[in-house]
Amino acid sequence: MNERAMPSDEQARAVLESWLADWYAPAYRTARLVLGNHAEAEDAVQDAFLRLWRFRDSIPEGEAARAWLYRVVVNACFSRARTEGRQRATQPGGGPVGTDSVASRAPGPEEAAEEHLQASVVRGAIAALPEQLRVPVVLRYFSGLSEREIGVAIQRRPGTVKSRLHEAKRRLEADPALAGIFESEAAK
Amino acid sequence: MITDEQLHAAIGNAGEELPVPTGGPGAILEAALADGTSEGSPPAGGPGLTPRRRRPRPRVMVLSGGAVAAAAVALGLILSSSPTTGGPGVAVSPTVLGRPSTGVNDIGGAAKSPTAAFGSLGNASTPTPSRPGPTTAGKQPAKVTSSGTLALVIDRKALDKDVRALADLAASAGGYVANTNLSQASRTGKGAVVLSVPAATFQSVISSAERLGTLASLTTSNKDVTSQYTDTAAQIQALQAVRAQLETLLKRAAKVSDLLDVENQIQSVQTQIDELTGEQRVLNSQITYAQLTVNLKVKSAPRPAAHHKSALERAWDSAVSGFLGGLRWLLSISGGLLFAVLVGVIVLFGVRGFIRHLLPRVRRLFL
Repeated sequence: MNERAMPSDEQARAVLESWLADWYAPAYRTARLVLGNHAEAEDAVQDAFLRLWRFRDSIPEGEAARAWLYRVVVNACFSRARTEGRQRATQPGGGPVGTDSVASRAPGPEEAAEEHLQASVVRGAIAALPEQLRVPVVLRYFSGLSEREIGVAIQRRPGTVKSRLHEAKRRLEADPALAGIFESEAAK
Repeated sequence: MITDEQLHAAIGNAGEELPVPTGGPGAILEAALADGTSEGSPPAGGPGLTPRRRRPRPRVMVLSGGAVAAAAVALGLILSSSPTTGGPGVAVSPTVLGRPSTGVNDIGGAAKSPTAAFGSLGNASTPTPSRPGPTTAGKQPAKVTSSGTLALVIDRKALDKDVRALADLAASAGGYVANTNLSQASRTGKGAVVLSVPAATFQSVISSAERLGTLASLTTSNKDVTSQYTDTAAQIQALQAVRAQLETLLKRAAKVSDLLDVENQIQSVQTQIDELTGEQRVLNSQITYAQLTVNLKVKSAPRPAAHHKSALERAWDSAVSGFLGGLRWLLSISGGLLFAVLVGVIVLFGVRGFIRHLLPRVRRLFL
């Protein structure tokens, strides 16, 4: 992410390809969890990468680059959501999906179906959170950002991030479907 | 209690399960490379890393100041326009938001207008903002909201029928029943039905409703909200112009930090637009539909006339009353009496047992 623009097209292409290889999948999945919609997530991530590419000279170096990337992704999600209209209902589990499949890690069809069901319930619970709680939750528990990094990404103080995460966790605990999943996991 | 580890695992799985579109990176690659070398990229350097340039903060300040100034200028123009003559949809000076003015220069310490802040980046034409101004389309009709309260006295048996009649009345006028409160009607003899009807039919609906019972009271009120309506519409239009201006700036932003600042400004302006649009929607609804509250009161049944008793009847009543009083007294003291008898019997048996069994033993002990 810290590599800078290069003089030749081939070198520039190599840099961008390396960015995309490293960051496209996590950025897309983050956007998908935030927006709950494949098409909007894909567009948002495309916007984010184009912005990053366009302003690649401004990207900070080191660890801060990751928070910066997510900041641009989150902003692109907000922009996308704003332009597409906030009234549209999110589709946490459904909607068109890409052609890739990652189901190969599941050993059997029954377990795969159960995992898929659980993942849908989790996505549904996340989608039910208000946007201001959903974004920190996704960044913390999916993208693995620290509270400070989330603060950079959503342009809020770490204290605010902490309280939002606390509130989000409280709401997730109150979700009966999600609680059922965790109880059954604990029983196993 | 859900732990962080559980959430990491569950949300991680939920996210990892999502398939990533294969065509996404390719499309980005093509678009990015087609766009050419980006703005802000360093001049010809080696293939390695180039030192990071410090972001020029003054530019951010100019940008933020410019955006705020644009909003201030636009809103200032609204306030200076007359609500009765101003109206939406009127084109005005194309340089309103772009020209340097006292307000623009003062806010944020920037001497440039928002357009000028990015003036060096390109010569793209700035979209012409519009603001409310004197209308040439003639005076608009007054915006009036109407409401009224009608109190009717009706027969108890006719309560359901009248409520249905009111609903039919609203429907036939092109309105609807907004609220009904009849839950306590059977006990209290009171209920209320709120009708929302098109303002044009308000008077005729009142006249029809009056005929359903005896009119107890009628109050109606009309409120002229023309200025409020015009102000709201003008504010929305001005904010839309500000948003358009900011979107132009967004396209010209040279740095991510500038981009994010402008986006924040746009978000803030959009929130204001949304709030005002909601307010306008409510106002429109109040103008279009008049609200009539019909309070229904059930006629109370006439009280039976007082019956005068003869002296003999009064004496008999008095005797019966006295007898019942005596019985009541007996019953009331019987409980205490029974308890006293019970205690007496227990004491009696206790003393008797002492005398018969314990007293001889005590005597033998001492003698």
